[in-house]
Amino acid sequence: MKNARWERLKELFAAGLEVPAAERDAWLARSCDGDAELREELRALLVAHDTPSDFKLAVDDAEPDRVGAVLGDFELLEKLGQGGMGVVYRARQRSLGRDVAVKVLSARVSRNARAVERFNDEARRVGRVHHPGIAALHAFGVEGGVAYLALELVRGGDLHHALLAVGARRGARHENANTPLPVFGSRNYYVAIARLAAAAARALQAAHDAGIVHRDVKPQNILLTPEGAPKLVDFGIAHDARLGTPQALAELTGTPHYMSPEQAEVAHVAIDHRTDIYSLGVVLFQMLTLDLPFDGETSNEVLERIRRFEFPDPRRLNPDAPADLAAVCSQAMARAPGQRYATANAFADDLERFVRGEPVVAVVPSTGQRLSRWLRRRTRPLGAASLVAVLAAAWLALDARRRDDFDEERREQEQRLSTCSIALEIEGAAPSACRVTARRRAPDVERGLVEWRPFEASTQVEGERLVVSGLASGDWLLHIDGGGAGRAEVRRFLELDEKLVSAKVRLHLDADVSADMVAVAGGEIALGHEFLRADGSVDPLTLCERVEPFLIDVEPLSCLEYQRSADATQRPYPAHWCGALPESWRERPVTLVSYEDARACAEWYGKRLATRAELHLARGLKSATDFPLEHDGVAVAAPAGAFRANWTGPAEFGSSTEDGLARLHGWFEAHVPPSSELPLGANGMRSSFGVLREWVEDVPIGGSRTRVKFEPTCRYRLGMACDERFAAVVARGRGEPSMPVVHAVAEPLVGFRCARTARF
Amino acid sequence: MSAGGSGITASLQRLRDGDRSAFEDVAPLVYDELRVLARRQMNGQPKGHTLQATALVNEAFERLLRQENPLWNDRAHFLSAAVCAMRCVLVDHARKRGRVRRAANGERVALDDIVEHIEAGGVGLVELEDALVAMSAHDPRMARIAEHAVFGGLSVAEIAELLDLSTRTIERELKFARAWILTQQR
Repeated sequence: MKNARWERLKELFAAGLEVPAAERDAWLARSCDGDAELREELRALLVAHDTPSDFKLAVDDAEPDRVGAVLGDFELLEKLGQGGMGVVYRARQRSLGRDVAVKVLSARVSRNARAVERFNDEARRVGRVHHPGIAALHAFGVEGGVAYLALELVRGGDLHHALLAVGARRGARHENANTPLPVFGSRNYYVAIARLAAAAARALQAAHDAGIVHRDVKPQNILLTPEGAPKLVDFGIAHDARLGTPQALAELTGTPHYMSPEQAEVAHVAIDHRTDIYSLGVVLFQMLTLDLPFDGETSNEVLERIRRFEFPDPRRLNPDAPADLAAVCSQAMARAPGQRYATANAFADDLERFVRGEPVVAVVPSTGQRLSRWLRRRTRPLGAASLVAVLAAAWLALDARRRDDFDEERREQEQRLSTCSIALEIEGAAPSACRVTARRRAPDVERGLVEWRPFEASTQVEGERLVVSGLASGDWLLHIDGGGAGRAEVRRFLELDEKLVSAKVRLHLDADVSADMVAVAGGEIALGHEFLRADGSVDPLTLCERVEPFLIDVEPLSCLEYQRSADATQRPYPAHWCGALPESWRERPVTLVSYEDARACAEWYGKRLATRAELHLARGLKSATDFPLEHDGVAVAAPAGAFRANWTGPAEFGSSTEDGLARLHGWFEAHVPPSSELPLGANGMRSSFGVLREWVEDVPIGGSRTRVKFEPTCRYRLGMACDERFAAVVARGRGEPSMPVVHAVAEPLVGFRCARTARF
Repeated sequence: MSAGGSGITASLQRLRDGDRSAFEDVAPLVYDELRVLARRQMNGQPKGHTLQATALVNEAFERLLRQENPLWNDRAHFLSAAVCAMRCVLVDHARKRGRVRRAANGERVALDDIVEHIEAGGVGLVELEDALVAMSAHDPRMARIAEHAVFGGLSVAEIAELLDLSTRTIERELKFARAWILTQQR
């Protein structure tokens, strides 16, 4: 009976959807045959269906190719490109017989209410402004659940691509008719870019007059007509108060490089039209030099540079740039909004003066000003130098208008950002007797290589500690050499704002540690990474990591070994020990340790955690990108900063903490054998695959081809703790003996093994 | 989603016929299919969430491999099992999280963002799970369709292909399912 009622409900629901809302009450009364309960249930369902809500069950199909489709008055003819929000088509407006650009909001984005609102916003804002420098909005509509904007069709591409083309044929002799800009460096070029910037500034003024701040002025958002006149687009993020942090904004817009210092501020200060003047100034800078004023490894770093540094004089990157145009650029990019042009029109006026060959209003900085700016930039290294030497150096720096000089300045900025320190407490030798060398992990996409670059760190004895300072944010490996007292290693990922990190290490002689380790030759190994393309799809880019010869533990660390270090460093025992290490567990691998505890233990033994590359190399593999070894679990840090393997405590594994502990205890007894019973693999190393996972000392690398970034909130735990079937697969596929492990619970079973660089 | 389809079907057939070595071929394919599903789950999200998708795949994969007697006749069966595994992982995680939250423990672990992504529509994952369980008592097929949409991130056309139903049917069923789940929330 129940089912018949359900079927009837579904039938009526489908029919009810066809009934206009006004007639619905009458229809409900008619259709439910006096069954009041059915009627009310049906009414509730229809109301729920009609109520707008973010709750959706299915996504629409992967962005369909809509060529040929008709949206309102517009027939889509050809796909022009894809942006973050949707797809842009060339379309024919049927009523007027003209070609337009139609931006269709992607179905996936349309699930996101905020994105739809932004889209709507863009329509409303742009619709209010009419200016030849702003791509005109013809229509906004929703057709069959698809939201779209019809805009003026601009056929000359965008400034970003035009600049790429200019860069590509830099130094080439012949003009290329396909790009709207003349050859870089010619007088014509500078006149053309000044005209272009002036026209863009006039367009911004029109927007500002209408009360709209663009907030995302960049070459990608400046379209060009075939004649080279600019048309601004993408007013999508104008005035979106919810965009919170600069990082969020950078993520949304895809690039932080054009953000003004006030936009880059962490605590949002008032943003007004002058942010657009700054950003257009950056665009001018880029046109003048084909380079960006600020760059960095991460968007955070770019933002930090924007916040803290003076941008370089454009003429140092391009000595041929006209001084007047450089001065205009400098005025637009003044740090304080009050120092910039007061209006976009004033900016345009000055640019047009340059075009006409008249002197500009912007002040070309005098030698004295440039000198004092230069001196301000380098406060630190000059303490001991004599004034004459300083002035001589400053003069030389100003005179040498070469790229090296600019690169030097970037390095200098890098140094000024390098304010992190690691304080080492060293057991086994006096801090003054130790020599520290530092290396930083440096991914290089162009060469497809991840290397460890040596770095001159300065060290200083402070009481009992040895402080290594001047470190930039990034992934660091410190090697501490105590001479006859032995050596030790420390690996730390330093965040930009992490000023002082401390580490405790014990020096050990090679002879003392090498008994339980095997030596593995270094080499290169391909690692899987999570690189994404601009459209969000996965980029199959592979980086090889270059590994120095190293020593690695034959077995994962045993419970007994862990107990010793935990006692010495006053770290907690794993939860399932219940306060004491059972006698029969002493030789079994330790599990249920957090990443931090594992690392502290390794450092107490004068070693460090093995890296992902090392573990794979030691297993005799050439690549870590293939199944099943790609199967590296990733743990994401809790806010407290601890990396625990996706579990929050014993209570998770049972009805109560006691019950959970008992279960964990049972699993451990049943599935984790003494280390000496683990199968032997390549290099005489015992494999824990199929029994437990192992923490490795790696911060994952992700991002994109153009901007590689570290993911410091994540750590890998390598390998697998799984069932018999899987172990059998591994055994056959990879030449490792099968492990009789049944239904182990993977998550909490995480241990580790240690490694040590063979020579440094 | 169709590339490699015949490969996995053939391997599953061999596995069903008792060829244990087929498992070796299946496991990587299983893993790949799961990755595709998990990534789709995170589509429309800001970048930088792929590592969470990896965490989801890892857990769902282990859960799939732990099944005693997998009844995967073909790719469609298998994908359904994969969707189901991801559902278990995510719902488990959401429940756990609820418990942890009540314990005033503010820790945040992998998968939180995926759960939040699903919950962005305003219906909690645990409530959604309860509604789906209740729905399957009335209408198992509808619950299955809804499960594929929610936990597989699959589109109407893909669900239609997978379950061998028309897109019209899927659309009709999903409309009702959505309205019904919303009425269960009060």
